[in-house]
Amino acid sequence: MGLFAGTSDGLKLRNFSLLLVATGLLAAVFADVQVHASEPWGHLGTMLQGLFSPSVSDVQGLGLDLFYTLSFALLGVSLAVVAGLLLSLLYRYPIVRFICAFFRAIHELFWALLFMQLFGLSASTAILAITIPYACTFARVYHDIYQHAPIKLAQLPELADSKFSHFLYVLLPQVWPQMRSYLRYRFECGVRTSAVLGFVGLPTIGFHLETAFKQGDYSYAGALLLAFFLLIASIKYWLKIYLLPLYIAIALWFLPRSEFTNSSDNIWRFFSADIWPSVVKNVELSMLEKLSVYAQWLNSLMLEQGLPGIASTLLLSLMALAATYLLCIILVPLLNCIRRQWLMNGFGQCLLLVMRSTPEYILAFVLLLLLGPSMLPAVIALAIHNSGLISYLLQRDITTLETGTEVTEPGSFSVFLYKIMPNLYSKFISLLMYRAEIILRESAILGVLGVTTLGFYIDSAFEDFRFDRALALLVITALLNVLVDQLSRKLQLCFSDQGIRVRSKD
Amino acid sequence: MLFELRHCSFSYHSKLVLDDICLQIGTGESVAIVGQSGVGKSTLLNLLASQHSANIAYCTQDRQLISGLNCYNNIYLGKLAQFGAIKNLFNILWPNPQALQEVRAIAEQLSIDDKLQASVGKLSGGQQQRVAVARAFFQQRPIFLGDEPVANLDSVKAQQVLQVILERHQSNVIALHDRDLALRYFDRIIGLKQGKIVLDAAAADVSQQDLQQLYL
Repeated sequence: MGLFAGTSDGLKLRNFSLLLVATGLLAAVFADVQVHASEPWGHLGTMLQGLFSPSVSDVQGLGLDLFYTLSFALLGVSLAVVAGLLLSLLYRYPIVRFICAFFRAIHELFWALLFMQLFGLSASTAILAITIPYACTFARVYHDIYQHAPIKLAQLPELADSKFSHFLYVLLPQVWPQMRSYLRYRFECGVRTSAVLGFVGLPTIGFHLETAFKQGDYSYAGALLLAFFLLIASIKYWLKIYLLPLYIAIALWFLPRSEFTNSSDNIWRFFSADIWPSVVKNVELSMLEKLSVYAQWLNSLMLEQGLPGIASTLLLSLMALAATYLLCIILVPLLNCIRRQWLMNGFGQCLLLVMRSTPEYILAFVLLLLLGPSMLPAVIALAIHNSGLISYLLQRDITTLETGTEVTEPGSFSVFLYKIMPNLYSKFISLLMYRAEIILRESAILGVLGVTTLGFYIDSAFEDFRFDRALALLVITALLNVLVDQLSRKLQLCFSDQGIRVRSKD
Repeated sequence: MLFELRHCSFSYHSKLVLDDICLQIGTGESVAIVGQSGVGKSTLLNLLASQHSANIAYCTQDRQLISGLNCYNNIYLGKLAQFGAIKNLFNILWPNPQALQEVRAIAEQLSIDDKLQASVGKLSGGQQQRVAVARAFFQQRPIFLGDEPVANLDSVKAQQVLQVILERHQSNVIALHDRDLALRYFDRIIGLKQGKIVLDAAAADVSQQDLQQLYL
């Protein structure tokens, strides 16, 4: 790529990293990153004091919150894995690929806002909001996993006629371990998503978390967060594939019954009338006139909301990407240096667990309360969550690298600089590019909290019952995400190739 | 004529692997292909395999065993395309009695009948090799092509397995590195050197020393 021209792979990586930080800083010049709160440190002190002295008055309520959070995640992810499995078999068709990319690009919270219009604050809304984007993610990831199966159909020509049997006997047994571990990971994501769905009113832990924080009841918020972390950390002990049917049956039996009913007429009206701008519904116009009026409507929507929304979303993403990069290059060597001291190491690992398990949305919400309304809380939230995850993944690689290559002084900074970093840097940049798409997706959704990204305009449109606007903006958001996903995939490939080349030279 | 190659050459990554091969093999023959490793034995077998794919049971060198499946299903895989999708689906949940009976008979011949429930990943190299041979048997084809099908077995087992292979198939073309086995069990020996056929004679007319020449 000309942009990162350099004489060696190392130089290209350096130039790209500098470009990443420079664009992040440049974005900060144009964005509002001020602290608007009068006394953020004092407020933080009070908040931390509360969070570290958790107390619960209503244990039953907390239990019910956790149960619903888990139930929605369990049912949503289970449905998604079945649908995703089917879609993954059709993923070679470009149309399926596009539909999956498009639906995946719409955040679970947006799906929840959409389904809320149809099914109210019900379990169906929560489950569908998780199922649809997750099914599309499963389709893509499972399809990618199939590509890496060691033995392929071409090598067993006698099976060529029978695609289903081939899947069952050749593909599935080979890739089952990866598929199972990805399912576990997705379930963990599902629990986080389910918690966040509470912020739009669904009866999960996020609902009471929002209330507790807004009312300043930090002890209760602390208890909720503690319960949430314990839940996430305990997943690996109780999530067994063979127990899933039992869990699903329990979840289904105790699902909350919603009072909300919607007639099929209303649902039909939503799709046939509500989501289309009124100008298009004018029956007297010809098709061509309708199209031109619609184009005008879309044009003014783009100018008023679409473009400012896109600009803010991109600004926020660029800043968050640069901040994630900076936080990672501080965290990874630091954690590596304290690895030999068990107390410090334990603290470091707990910190990483909290960083990567706390959804960006919750972090941004809390920081917004502390720092006041600007892009700064969103940038910090995205950087904390993503750097926690990337640092965790890199740390695992460092351990394998050290066991493979007999490092004489594990934990020494010089060894890190000269031995570990050159081997891992391209992987780090490739991971960062993988997160870029997710950062953009989250940047858009953080608008629901009041940052003026695309989510802000979408949320406002839903609040005003302007479903035509909401849907048009949702499509714009999804397309932007698909575009950035393509770009970040290309960059990811570019850097992971370099990683292979750099390593093969060693 | 069962197989026929006329002035056949084959290159892989711009390297000439087979050079102007002329070869005829008739029905009912048992042919051993010998020569140093990398001389083009596998490529020659692949070329032959493409000629009669429907009648050939081909046991390749890399075995193509599926690690997540047990032995029984790995053997069953040989006939996957012949059974319908529904039958295959049920078989993976509960072994089909008829197929199980057939597979068990084959496994007994190859002394792996006690391993049918075991995952192939947990078997030794020799046992895995016999599973691959069993898969080829299960296909019940008249022609057997084998690329070192007994290389990982001790000499007694290798002889037993080779005998069963030759008994079960009308025609056999097998690449081997064991010269004694080639001379003792086959009708005809084809020797390859630097991608060319340098020896093609009845086994009775070939001596150990003739074969020695191929490895110099």
